[in-house]
Amino acid sequence: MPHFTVLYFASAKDASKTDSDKFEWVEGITSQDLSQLLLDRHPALATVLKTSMFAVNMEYMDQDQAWTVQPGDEIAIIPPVSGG
Amino acid sequence: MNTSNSTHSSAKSDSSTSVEPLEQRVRRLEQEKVALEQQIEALRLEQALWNRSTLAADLPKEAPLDPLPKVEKLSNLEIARYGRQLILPNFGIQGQMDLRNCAMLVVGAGGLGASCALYLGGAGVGRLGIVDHDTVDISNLHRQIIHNESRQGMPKAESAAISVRMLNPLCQVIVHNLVLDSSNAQPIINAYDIVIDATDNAATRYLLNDACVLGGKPLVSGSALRFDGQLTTYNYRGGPCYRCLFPTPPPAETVTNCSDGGVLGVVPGTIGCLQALEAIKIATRMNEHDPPTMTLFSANSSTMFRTIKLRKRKPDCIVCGDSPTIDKLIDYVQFCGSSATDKTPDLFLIPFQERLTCKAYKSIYDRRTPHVLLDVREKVQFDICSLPSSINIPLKNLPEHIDEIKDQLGPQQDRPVYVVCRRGNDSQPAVKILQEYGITRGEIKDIVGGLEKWSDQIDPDFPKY
Repeated sequence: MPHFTVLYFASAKDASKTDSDKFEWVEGITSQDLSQLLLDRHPALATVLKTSMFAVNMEYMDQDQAWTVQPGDEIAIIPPVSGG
Repeated sequence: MNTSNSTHSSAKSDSSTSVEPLEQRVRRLEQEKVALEQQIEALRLEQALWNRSTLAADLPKEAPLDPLPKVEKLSNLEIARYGRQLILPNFGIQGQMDLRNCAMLVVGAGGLGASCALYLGGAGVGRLGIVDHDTVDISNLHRQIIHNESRQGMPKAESAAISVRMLNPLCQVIVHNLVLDSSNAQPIINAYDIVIDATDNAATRYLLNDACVLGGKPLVSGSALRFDGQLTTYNYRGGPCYRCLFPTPPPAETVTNCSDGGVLGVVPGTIGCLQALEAIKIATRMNEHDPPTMTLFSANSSTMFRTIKLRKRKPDCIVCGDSPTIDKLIDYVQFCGSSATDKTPDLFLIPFQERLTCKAYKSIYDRRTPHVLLDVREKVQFDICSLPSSINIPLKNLPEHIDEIKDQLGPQQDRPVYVVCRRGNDSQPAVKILQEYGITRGEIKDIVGGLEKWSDQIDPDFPKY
């Protein structure tokens, strides 16, 4: 079965309690579906996802435009970090 | 020195040939004089460490309205100091001149600003402004290595400026000992060429972003928490601004500061170094055609660095887009719903009269009244210090562990439960949870001010962290 990987950074890592997950890939997973998949697995991600940036294979993805997940994709969830 | 010999030879030669070596000697001595004067200045600076007020009074305090005077050549002292940079291909004399003629503003003299300001000062930036409103505390020093133990209580902006001047007296350092907000940010930012965001809170990050977009300044932004860091240059050569990537500020309750979340000192230090590097690259136009990126640093991951390729600015961005709706600075504390510092605010969830003061708990403890003392801090904090006979269940795990408390409530299930945490914030929602479960017939109260207050008021030997 093809998969795709999700990497969690900063507060997304805290909320999901892991730094990465593997998901089974099926045809036609959109960016919206992806958010739902993530919430199903980690309900604690709810607030984090709303303010996070997404990157696919190390490239920024605009959340205002729909995109679909491809097999083997590495998707990064990047919330802003404020501390210093 | 053989005076008689030189007098003899000069008397013999004609005047045109004897003047030249003497002039050369005068020039050499002049240079030596300048070098000695600088040594004296450096020694004075060092001595002044023991006389803080003198040194602090010496530092320029206001954003100078006059632009940084440009120089067209480096002095011999500068050439000697920056020699290792000057011989770098693709940097050379032009790169050094660009730095010398550049004014940079470091906002925040904390964990990020510490390494950043030192490297920028050392590298030979002509003018370096340092903004901070806070004072040096002992708990800063594991990461804010620009300060030192003898400067506790000193304004951080002044302490940082002293360190930069001691490293490189040729760098003009400007102290801005203030809270940057919408009323004062724009003129300060406009007085500099490059701005470095080394702050510790969301409100100031949005403020800096908007002020840099409005003032047309590149913003080198860094952040760090626990083992993670981020680095991005915003508003530079058509790249995005902070709002393009993060249009919505994170809810205040989800933002963790270094004081509550912890931070390994070298993590902000690393990001601060990278910020200095990016600022130097912008000043010297190195790699200026590279696409915008965000660098993610994960200190405890096998892949420590990842670079995310960003897009251009968003045409619909409300500040840097094609039809911006923000044309002047707004109220960022209100916009973010959180304060412009990284201090943890006091929570008031439960009326004061329904809570327990440290003194009241002390007398309960001394009278040996049977009770349960529940400490809701994370285990890693509980391991540092705890009150005798307290049980530890972190707030976030409380609902799953209610039964463990019930076991301690005595045969009548009527012992009072007292909740304690670090500062008296987390203890309040914990009380609410315990009340919802109705776990005891006795009272449920929390201790105002938590263990920090306990250390202040009851037991000075109890550690604070």
